[in-house]
Amino acid sequence: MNSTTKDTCSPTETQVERPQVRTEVPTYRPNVDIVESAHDFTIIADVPGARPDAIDVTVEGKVLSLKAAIAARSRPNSRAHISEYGVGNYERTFRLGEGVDVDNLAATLKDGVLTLRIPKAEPERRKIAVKTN
Amino acid sequence: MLTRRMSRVFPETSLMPQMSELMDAVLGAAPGVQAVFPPLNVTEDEHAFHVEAELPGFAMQDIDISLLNGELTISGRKTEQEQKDVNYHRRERLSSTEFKRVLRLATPIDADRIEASLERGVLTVTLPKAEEAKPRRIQIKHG
Repeated sequence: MNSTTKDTCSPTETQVERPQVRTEVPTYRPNVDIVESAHDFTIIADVPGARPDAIDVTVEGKVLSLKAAIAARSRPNSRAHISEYGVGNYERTFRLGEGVDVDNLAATLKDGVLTLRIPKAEPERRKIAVKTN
Repeated sequence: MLTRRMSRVFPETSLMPQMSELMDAVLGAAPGVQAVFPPLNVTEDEHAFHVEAELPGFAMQDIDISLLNGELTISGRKTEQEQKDVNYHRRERLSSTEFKRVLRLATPIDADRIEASLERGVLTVTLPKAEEAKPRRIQIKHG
């Protein structure tokens, strides 16, 4: 993707002072990639601004939920010129298919990207004893 | 002021694995893909302009920031290695991207004191105003 856009900031005339008061923190759905390989499923989620200790990944039954709390980045005594995105918490849930090993789920966070690797469960191998007479 | 809110507003749900490839093709144009990348937030206070951009997955060496003739240019390029022998069930993130955004600043900036940081996928550029652009209090003398 290649996009070039031009915006004008800093208006020439005086703007009304806009106090940035946040009454409640909004919740957004993070963009994800879900990748399946021979051995695992990987959920890659964009969670810019999230600290590792503010991320909460839980599995309940077959539902995996991902939450990340984001501290509001408000600037006192400032006015907004361009507001193209909101800052808020992230939340998204996924229904897991059969045959995943959630006990061995591994989570890593780097540059605002959360990666959840869920191994596929090894098919249960039952050894049949062959009796000899 | 321009206000836009994308994709992430929808709460909840979506399922995982075992989806058909047809769905993948449809999801290629998921609402999460923005026409303008990256979205910016720009604020101004008495001393400086603050430009913020969400750039998850980018490292500082992927990003180039320059100021020329009152125009701030933020550009970048990222290439994620395409994984082989995998099946994409969802593909909403930008895997490979090249972007460029230009902001025209009508206020003179102290170019030597521009600071930029990239933390947890959030880029912050602070553009201090030049001394002559800062508001000055005029003392009124009593006669």
